[in-house]
Amino acid sequence: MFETCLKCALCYENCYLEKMGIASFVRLPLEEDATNLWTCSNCWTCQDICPAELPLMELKCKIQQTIEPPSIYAASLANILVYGYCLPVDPDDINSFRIDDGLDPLTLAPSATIAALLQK
Amino acid sequence: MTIEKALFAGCLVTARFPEYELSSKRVLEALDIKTHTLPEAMCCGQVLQGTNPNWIYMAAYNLALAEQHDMDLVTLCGGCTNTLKRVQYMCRQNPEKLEGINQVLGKVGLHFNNTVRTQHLLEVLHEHTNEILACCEKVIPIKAAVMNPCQVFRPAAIMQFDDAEHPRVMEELLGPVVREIIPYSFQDRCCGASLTMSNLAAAYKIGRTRLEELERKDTDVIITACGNCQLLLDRKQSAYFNGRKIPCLFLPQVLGLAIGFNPEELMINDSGIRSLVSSV
Repeated sequence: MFETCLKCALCYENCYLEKMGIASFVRLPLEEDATNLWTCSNCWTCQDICPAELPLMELKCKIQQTIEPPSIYAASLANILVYGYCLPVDPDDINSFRIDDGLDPLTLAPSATIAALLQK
Repeated sequence: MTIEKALFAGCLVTARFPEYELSSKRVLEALDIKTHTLPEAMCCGQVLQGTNPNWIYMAAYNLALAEQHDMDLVTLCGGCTNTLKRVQYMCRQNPEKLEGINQVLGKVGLHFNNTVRTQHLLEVLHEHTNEILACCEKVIPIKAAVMNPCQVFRPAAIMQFDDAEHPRVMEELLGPVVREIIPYSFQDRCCGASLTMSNLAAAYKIGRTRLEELERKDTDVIITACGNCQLLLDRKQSAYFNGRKIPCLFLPQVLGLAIGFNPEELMINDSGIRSLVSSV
């Protein structure tokens, strides 16, 4: 996956998490046993700076998809399957406030639509 | 002539920050841009990128929905902007990807042509900087620090907006309407909010580092343009920072005050901010 990596460590040196002493996923191209796959702020600096133009963020997601995620991601998916959103939003609870405030009422996507999109 | 656009609020803003959606709507109306909430919109898909390869269909669904309503999209968070624009880029680069997406969207009665334009609120306001500043009648007496929404600017080749290393757009919009913009060390670096899902200690360390410097610099308000930045720096501030509370406002709330809306119309409830702006 990282065959074309130049091992130049620019991603590591420019990751601001690493600059703050937080071990991040950018160690992955450099250390085979790196374990910080979910420690990333999604700022894209590493990918933007990579001289080999490796799609580091996409590679990270592909590897993440093969391992057990932190439990909060399962909760997000559960909410999406119900509401279409990763947080609970119930139109019955919020639409009277939204309309009073001058916002359009919220309508949720049908659950069959959500399921059809996410079906593997 | 009034322009009609779809305001894509996404998960966080819809669930937690109606003040961002409302103030954006009011400021855009000052530019004669009328915004609508897309019926049956859903999460942009970003949160699933590390767990479900089908996240891309959620992004494409929202884009196709906007096309069906014949409206361009205005996004409010960095993550939504980044995700939607990347999917559009992928489809432009790879027609087979677009074809595959349309096979799935066909199951829910939609078709994606990839003709919709997706812009973050900052991009829309940037195109109308002179007009929006002409609408501003007041200078808000606050010393403000800006929090740039990093994913609006990166990856630079795809986002194609401002200077990804040193974004200027927020300061250009806010400089004329606040008393002072306070520069600080990490203003061009990500807020760290994504880490609240996977490494809370790391997220809090980044937030604390930023706030400690802003407290030393006597900052009144942090100004954000993304629900995630607001979540970490405002809503979760007391969980990791023991210093003086530094409130956050969304950029359109500040512009709205400068235009002449009152704090209630912009859903500004923080008593400290209200007292700061009450003399305007």
